[in-house]
Amino acid sequence: MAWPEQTLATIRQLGTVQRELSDRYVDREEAIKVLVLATVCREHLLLIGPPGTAKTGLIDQFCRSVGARQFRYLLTRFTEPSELFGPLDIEQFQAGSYQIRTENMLPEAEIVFLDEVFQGSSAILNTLLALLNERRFNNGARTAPTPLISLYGATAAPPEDPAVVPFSDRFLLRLELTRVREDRLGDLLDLGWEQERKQIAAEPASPVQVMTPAQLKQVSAQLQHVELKRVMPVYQQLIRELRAQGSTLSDRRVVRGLKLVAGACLLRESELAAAVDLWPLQHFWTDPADAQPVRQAVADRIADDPSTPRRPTRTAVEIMTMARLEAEQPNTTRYPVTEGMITASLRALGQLRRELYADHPGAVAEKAEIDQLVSAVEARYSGSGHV
Amino acid sequence: MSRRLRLRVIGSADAQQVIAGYHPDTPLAEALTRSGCLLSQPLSADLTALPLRAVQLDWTDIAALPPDSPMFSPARAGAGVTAAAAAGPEPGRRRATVSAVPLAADPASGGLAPDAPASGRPVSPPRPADLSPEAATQIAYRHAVEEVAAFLRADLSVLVICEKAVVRYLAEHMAQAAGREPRVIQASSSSETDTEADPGDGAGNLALFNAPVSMGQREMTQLRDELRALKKGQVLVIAHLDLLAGGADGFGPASADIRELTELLYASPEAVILAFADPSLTIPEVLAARFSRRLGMEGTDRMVPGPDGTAVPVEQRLITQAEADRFHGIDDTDFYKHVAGLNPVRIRQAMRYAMLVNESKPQATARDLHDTIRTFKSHLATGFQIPDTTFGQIGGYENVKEELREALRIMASVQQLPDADAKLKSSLVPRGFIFHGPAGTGKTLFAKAVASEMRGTIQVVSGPELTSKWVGEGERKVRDLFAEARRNAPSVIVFDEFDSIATRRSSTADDGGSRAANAMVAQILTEMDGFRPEVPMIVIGTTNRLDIIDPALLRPSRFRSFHIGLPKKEGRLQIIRVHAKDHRIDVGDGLDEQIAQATEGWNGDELRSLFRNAYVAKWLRHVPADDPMDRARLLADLVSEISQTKEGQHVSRGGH
Repeated sequence: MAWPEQTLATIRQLGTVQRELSDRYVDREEAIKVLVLATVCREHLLLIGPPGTAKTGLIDQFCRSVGARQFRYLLTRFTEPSELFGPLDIEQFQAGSYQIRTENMLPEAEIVFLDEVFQGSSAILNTLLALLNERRFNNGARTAPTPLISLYGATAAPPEDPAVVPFSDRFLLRLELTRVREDRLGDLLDLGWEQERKQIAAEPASPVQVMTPAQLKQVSAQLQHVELKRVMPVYQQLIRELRAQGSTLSDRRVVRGLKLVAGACLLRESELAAAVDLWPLQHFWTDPADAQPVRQAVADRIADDPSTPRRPTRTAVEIMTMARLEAEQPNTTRYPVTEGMITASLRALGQLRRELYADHPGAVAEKAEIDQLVSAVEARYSGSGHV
Repeated sequence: MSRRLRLRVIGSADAQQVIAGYHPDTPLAEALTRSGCLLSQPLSADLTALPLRAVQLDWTDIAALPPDSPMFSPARAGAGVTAAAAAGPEPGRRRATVSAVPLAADPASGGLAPDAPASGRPVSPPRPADLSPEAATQIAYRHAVEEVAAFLRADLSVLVICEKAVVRYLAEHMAQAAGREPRVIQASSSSETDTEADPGDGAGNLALFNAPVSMGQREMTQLRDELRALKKGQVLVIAHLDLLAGGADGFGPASADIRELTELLYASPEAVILAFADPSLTIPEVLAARFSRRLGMEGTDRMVPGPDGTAVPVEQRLITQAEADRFHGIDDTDFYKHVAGLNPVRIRQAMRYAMLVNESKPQATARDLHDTIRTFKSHLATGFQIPDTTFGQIGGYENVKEELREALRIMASVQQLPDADAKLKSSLVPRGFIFHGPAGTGKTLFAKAVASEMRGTIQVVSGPELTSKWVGEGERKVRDLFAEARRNAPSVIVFDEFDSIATRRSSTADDGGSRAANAMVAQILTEMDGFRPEVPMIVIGTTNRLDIIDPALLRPSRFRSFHIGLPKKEGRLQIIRVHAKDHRIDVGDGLDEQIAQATEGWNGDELRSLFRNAYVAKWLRHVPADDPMDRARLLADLVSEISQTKEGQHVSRGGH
């Protein structure tokens, strides 16, 4: 039984969204993958990292691509609940019932992003608890269902206060975001400047929406059909190993983890879960001290399984096309060619060359060509100091 | 992750949604066409096949474009397009007209002239401008290479039997064709292993330990290291397995080298090995059994794969344009006949030689080429020569000549038979002739003439040359002889005094020598049965004693027998005339008739001896022979002399 056409189309659209997001943000591929998975599994995600690491930007773009209603707020110690959930409906109150007007506020959003989520007061956290668990909002006497798909919380440092531990346990997935690596600084500046320019030019906001939240919901409904039989023993072993290591994994977490595995399998367009689908578990630790061992254990499990495919390779033709275009860059760019540009080209060529050598050892003609391209670009570099 | 390629695309929001839903590996051109998008620049050919995931699309709405901007359809890559102003009344609507000029993709085969045969000219595809031995080998042996590559891909070891000249060009190529990395075992050229002994330390004995290591030992060490370090996806290439195995001849106990090699190779059964060996050197069977497949590559095939994969005659692929221009009228059938047994490297050498030799000739034809190649082949081997006798030089025996000519004609034209009768082809081609008859009647001469008529080379072998005191040596010599003959095809092997080796196999084999001879005959028959119809070869046996030849050999499917008896008067006349001309004795005015009359029952050899003696008498003993009367007297004397000798022999033999 293969997935129905529409499901497959939606999954591929999600793939396109992932790729487009990766085009905009440097070194955020893993984060985007987890983001998409959280949405599909309808689970909540905790983003841990210093300010200014594109958390807001990512979620914003993602919501725009998916067409989801977004609610975004920065919490402080003094934030009032009404700032999040809405003001009191005065008229109704005068009529005798306590009701909150939730239009355009958190209870009516499909994706919620709360920055510095653990700064919220206990009142807020309590309300959120119910929201996260049952997706229901207590509006006065009634409880209304909310269209919430996922809630993303961000925090600069993982929570240490034991009082908020149950709350943080509700966030099944954790993602650590750090500053971009030094060697990608050039790319960061290029991409970042492009975004800024677009903003200054007031170009129409892109990305354009490629799918609807209804499609997302439909895909999430397919999670129940994923076959977990084969991966269950491996999963059990992994949990036992992690617990033996001393990682805190609550029962709820362990059971929900299965949903993550099913989600990964679904995003792979497969119906049978395999060891390779265990990758989300790298993010489902509770205690930050457990992060490294959990990641390592999961990675080992994935690598050990014989059914894990080698990382997808690109064909030699593709690599060569990219290499040729990359080598052409210094010749076709509008801007005066600088040392930095040549270095960037060389770095990209070097990466392509490594890929070619690793994945296509027998492609002699292509290897020779790529070496030629590298030396051609190098010649421009060293030929004249100022090119 | 490296950056993706950016492409400006023109399309609606719906198209964006649709294309976002395609599989990431869909080819770019297909995805764009199916979703109905247009481009602002023509799509270059190498981008059409890129998968969708490799490209970042920058979307522009069609309404936002200036009115006369060109637009291109992704369907026809590289086509020139003109965007016409909209014929429709609404402003802002464009129609792009596409004029499709399909560009023929250039196959990346180095050296071929980029002549696109788009208009369907009935001319043969152009020949390469230059052909290196490497390219020639790879073209000619492409089928074999692909077969080996398929085996290597399936992780099976292959042993290739081919001549050493081509090993160099095939060793790495085959491994690379299978997509595997080759690790080649070869004699290292560095001399660093020749360490200098340093006796000055007082430990003079150490000089022994530092003795220079031989090449064979170096290769064994290298082999051991490579086998240990071999990873998946790599192929171990042993370029000269037969040399590593000590070049043993299969007899006697296995040498230490072979034992070590065998153990090494069997210790790593999962290693994928590609080994080469020469057909003339034997490899111990136990070593050869390590390989899952043995492939023999001998000579060249008649049809080799062309650049697009279809089979073309070999002469179209292995001859450069310059050579084809020099020699007019290269016909594919004839050409192959002359190079059937040569490997591609040799063919290229032969062509270069031919170009050199015929440089000064203004109008060289294909015949000159064939002759030069024949000369080249005869220089290759010591045994084979080019015959200089033709049928025309043999006097008389018209019926025999006619029959032989007929047989050769069949051989030449068997290729034109319909392919449905392919099985019959090999049975139609004559394989062997036996010329029998009294001594001295020119049987060997006939054999040479046959070779001449075939425009091939000839090797004359006599019985004692083949036999040797070692058991089994005779068979080996026969095998080598036939292998050499195949390499020099077209060729003729003449077994002189065939009765010395082909005696009737007797049931009372009490004589060890006759048993050995039987084995040799069996070997000859085996070799003959293995004749391929494309490689023109004939075996001719000459004998005086048909009665002791094994009747099994006289089956018409094997040897056709021709009786070459004593010449009749007509024949004698011809022979006399031929010899007289050779020896510059004038036999005009009816003298030849008289001699023919007088020499009843003589064979050609005796007639020749007559003229030989006449020559000696005239020029060395200065017997007067200018006057016709003197000549006649001289010749008459000589005739009677020879007659007396014959009579004497006849009497001594007891009147047989």
